Amino acid sequence: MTSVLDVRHLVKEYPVRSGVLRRVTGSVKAVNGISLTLERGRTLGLVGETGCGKSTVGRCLVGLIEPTSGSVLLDGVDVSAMSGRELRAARRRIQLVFQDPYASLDPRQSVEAIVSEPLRLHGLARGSESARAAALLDLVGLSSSVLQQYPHELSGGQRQRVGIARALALEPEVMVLDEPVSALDVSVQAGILNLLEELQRELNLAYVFIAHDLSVVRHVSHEVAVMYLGRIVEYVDADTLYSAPQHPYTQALLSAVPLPDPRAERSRKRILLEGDLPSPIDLPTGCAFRSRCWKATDVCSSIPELRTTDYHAVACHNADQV
Amino acid sequence: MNPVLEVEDLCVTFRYREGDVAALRNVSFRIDPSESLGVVGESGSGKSLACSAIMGLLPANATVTGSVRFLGQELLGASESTLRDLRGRRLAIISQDALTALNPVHTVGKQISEAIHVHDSSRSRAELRDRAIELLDLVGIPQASARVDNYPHEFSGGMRQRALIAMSVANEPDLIIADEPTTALDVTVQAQVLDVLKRIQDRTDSALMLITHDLGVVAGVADRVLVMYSGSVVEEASVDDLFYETSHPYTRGLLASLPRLDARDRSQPLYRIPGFQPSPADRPAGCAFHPRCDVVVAGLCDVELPLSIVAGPGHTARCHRVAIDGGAS
Repeated sequence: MTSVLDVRHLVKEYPVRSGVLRRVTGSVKAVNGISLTLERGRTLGLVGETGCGKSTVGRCLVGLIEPTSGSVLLDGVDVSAMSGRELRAARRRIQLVFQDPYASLDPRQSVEAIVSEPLRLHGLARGSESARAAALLDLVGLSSSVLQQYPHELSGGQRQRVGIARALALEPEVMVLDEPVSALDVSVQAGILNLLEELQRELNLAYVFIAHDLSVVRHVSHEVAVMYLGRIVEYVDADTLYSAPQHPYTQALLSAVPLPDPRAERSRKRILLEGDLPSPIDLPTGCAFRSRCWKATDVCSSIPELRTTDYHAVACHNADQV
Repeated sequence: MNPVLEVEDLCVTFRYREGDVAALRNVSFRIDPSESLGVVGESGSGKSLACSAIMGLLPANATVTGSVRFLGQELLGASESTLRDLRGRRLAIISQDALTALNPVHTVGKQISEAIHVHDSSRSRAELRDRAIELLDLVGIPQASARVDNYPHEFSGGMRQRALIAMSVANEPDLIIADEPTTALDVTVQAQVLDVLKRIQDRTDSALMLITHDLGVVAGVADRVLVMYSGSVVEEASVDDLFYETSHPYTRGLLASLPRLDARDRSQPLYRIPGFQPSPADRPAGCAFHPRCDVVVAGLCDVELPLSIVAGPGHTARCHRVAIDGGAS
């Protein structure tokens, strides 16, 4: 078994309350039975639109949210069964980088304090925290002169580098990157994406890359899982996903991405989806996508299973045959 | 053909206690009837500021010089009543955040009716309501005759943005200024909204000024493009020339730094423009881009502000290198 991270049938339910007494009247499955697997040195892209549950998956992976059921395995060992010291040690191995470099750094802490905080919390590198912090900054391409600066003195790209340095402090094996570049301008985004690739090569890191931008996901990912309303609808290697998508939602998603190429844009046939994302509280019965799907037929009233043929997993009754 | 909008040497300076900051520097461009002009740039490049300056919506500490002629009429220094008459009738704006642009305590239909009523009080309430339904239908809101009585919070993000488009085109304006109209939307919804915007523009023959940071959106919507950097227009070209005959090193850098959905080779790292965009308060001397430029000419680019150089028909770039190389990219 070479996979560093295994996710099995992950479910996260939230209660729905209503009325004056806020009684629980139902539940929303933000994540509805998701399984993923990731090897060292590889990147798994997790894409989907607002509300599909991709960030909830990320948070379940690092333990910020307790999943309702299902398990997260690090090197084959179930993290959810651990407690105490064992759990603390496991948490070190999987770290999160947040989307918003403006909101995720404490404005009243210096860069040195921010980057060395995980070391202090875990009692690592005692006495040499500053040296470690400087080394970490060097790793993410910042000079040690920013050590004594505060987040407001840094640019957006520099802040995101500090966020990455903080996540690297505990020498994790898996990094969960939740929209790490979506708040950045393109010219800054390129620097961060290149940095992440270099770090992956040098440190053999595994990434779970959560994003809504399909161009970015294509650039960084080895495998991609497409999510729609809490479920994975397609899961395959990145090249196949982009060259031969099978799920109608993936096809629509890809065709909606504007290409920076006017001639291609003019000749392109766009699949325009009808209507809006249904409310997760009130999902269509059967396939959740059928209310917007142009291929929907009667069979879609039953929930399609994620079926795998030749390493290509698709959850659709009417998927294109390869 | 008389242009709808003609902007000449538009400068915006903010007065602070520490001194004056030139936020927008000598911006000139024109938009012809029914033309789509894309304005691209990264945050802080001045693209939204240019839009506010045209609409006359700047704070009191801003000084505006130059000229903004809309249908031949000078807008800079025009009276508030003249501007009020133009805004919403002949000159419409669609903002990025549709939730804050709509009033939460009035129905969508009422807000659209009001936009018409303000400029034309001759219509009856029933006529206004019919027109609001017709407009909602036009922008693709399903069951428009029922939805017209909804409040903004009952609409999804994409529907709100479409309602805003309906409102802005209610009086068939000559120019629609859309400031990042799809930035807050998911990509499938963005595709719907852009499609509506293009259809409406075809139907009403309005000109469009589309401000965005997304080069993909520009490629699909614009006829002509302005690229802004640090308060100046650094390149202006037809959309094809901008993407295939790129002149300015900044534009070239931007295009090279984009991860591409249609990329063949992903093993190459992305191009990264070194450094970052200077704040208007401490721009370097000479060309504002020179410290980041890979084809900088020492002794020239760091000293002298480049002029707008003709790189081809309808194609200009503010770059000394283009002047030296004769526009070859």
